Amino acid sequence: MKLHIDGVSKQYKGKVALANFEAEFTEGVHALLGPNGAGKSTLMRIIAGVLRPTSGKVCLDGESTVAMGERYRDVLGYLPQSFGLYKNFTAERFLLYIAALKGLDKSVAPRKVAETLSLVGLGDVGKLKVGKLSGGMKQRLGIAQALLNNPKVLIVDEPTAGLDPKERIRFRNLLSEFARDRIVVLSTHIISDVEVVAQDVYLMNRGQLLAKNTAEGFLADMVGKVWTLTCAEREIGRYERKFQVGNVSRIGQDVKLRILSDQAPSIQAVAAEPTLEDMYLYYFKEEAAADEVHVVDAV
Amino acid sequence: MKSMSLTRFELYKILSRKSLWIFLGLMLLCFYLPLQIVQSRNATPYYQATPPTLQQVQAAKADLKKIAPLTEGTPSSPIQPALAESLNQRYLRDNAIITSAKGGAKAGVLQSIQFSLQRMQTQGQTSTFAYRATQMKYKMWKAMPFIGGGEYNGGGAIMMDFIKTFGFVFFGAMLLIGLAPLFSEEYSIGTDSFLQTAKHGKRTLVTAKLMAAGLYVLVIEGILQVFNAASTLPFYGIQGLNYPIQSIPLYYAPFHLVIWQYMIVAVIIQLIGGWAFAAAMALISSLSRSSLISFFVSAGVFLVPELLHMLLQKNWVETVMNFSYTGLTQVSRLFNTFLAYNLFGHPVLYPALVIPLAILVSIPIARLVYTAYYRHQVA
Repeated sequence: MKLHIDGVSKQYKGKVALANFEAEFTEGVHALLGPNGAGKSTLMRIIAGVLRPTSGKVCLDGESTVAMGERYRDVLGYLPQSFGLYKNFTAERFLLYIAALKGLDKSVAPRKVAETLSLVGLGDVGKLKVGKLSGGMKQRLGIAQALLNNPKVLIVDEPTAGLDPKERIRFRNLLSEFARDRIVVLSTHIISDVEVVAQDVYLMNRGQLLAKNTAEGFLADMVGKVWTLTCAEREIGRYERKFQVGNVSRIGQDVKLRILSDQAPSIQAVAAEPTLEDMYLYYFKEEAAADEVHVVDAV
Repeated sequence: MKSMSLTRFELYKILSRKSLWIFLGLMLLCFYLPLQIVQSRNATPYYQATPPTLQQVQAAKADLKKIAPLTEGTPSSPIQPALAESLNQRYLRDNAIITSAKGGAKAGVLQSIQFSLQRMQTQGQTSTFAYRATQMKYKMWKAMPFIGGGEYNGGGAIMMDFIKTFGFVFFGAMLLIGLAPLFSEEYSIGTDSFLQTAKHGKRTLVTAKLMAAGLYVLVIEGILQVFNAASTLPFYGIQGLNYPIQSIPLYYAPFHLVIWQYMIVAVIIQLIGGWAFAAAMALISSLSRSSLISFFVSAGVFLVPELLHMLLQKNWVETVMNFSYTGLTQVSRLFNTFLAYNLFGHPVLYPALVIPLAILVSIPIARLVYTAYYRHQVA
């Protein structure tokens, strides 16, 4: 199975949100990584068919998803970045509704709903009104609706936002298992999610594809570009002006800086083993700083 | 059928809104019912349902002469309210009997139509639309049975009044509150992504939503009419339901219907009006991301003709009102008087034109709902 993103562009009132994006997704998890405004959600919406591209098309096994219509939606699961729920519905009724929308047989739907609720850890709150669920539970209910029809193509936009670490790990494992024979396109800020599950990573910024590689490939590229340096606290500013500084940790009176640089920033600097977080900071620099909340979240 | 199972959920979405029931409860129980209880103590006018006997007429004439001096009173001894009430009752009864003896409204109307026909014949206008329409009017009135004098103010009359006044307002308000968010709420709360990416989330869903809207109209009409009967009949009784509709404020309606028949017809027409308006609201809602905008635009569609009608006394306003959802949903407008429209030179009765028209117009409107929803993109 191949999901081909064929030169997809999207403009909003003359502003380019996505520029000529090309990709081919096969079975496995494919991660889209980039700061806010990179065009990830726009791309996800286009793949999910809820947004029309200005140009280009999305094809599943060579057939345009628009032309496939209902047949494409039958194999699709989509979790948008932000979504609403019907607060008067119970979690169970909501999923039964989605099951009806997805065309699940009436005789199968209640069992499938119960299974999916328990899969996302909501087995005991099925009878609760959605309005009474916590933010994390709502997110899990969103995940549940995306998985309900056993989709062959799963598009998940920031799926772990709002989940606690335990739930995040649970979802990651679920995704990993799920993606064995399915296409999963994942957009996230949470780098650890990518590191664990993604078979390849697409770096996006300002609507453009910056680079594509496996997580290991990106890490290999970063070898020799990540340094640690212990210095006095007063020297932080000097290094920050000259280099891109990542983590700053305190060691007694001194501080230990993690610096991204193509050359050693100082003779005292020691080459460090790169992480995807370093890669993210290296590629996105200012955007990563502006996106600090999410990077911190990822740590 | 897939859309049937979805329709259940869509209907539940509409009906599970507490605000709907709070509003309806307040309007019916805290506003209309107390008003009904207070009004039920008022005097009941008299209606002469059968041709009066000679003795009845003589007695009425004699009684009228007797009560005339009693109604005047003097500044030093004004009439007591109880006596005035009783005299008024007698006056209305006597007049009703005397009018009935003269042939009631029918005689006067027929005479006037005959005069018009003769005038047109002498003026050589027999091939005109106006002549054909007047002929049609004459035939309709001629076919009318005995129409008595006076006015019936029993349970049937009050129930009919409810349909065109409070019932119409509550019906319109409930449709607006319930259906304005039909699509726009999905867009505004962000559930549209789930819907549009599901297998049956496009065409089948729109069908289900339209069916749910139709069922909702039926539910609201049902509730209002049950309440109408339950809040009227215990106070006013059921007698008089077989009186002609000319006994209630449809004095010049050229239709041969008795009140219970008219009730059924009125409810069906109000339902058709409600369904047509629901289709229009579905379209407005499918085009708007805000339930509030959808509500106000729909309210405008419903209320502007009525407001124009109240403020301007122009012919075009009458036509707008006649062909508005408001006019159709009020129902009584269709039966008030003889009104025929010129369709290729032939007179077509206003109700016979406007009802099929409402249905016909709703078909492309419903089609547009599908198109608008298909074209909707998740922002």
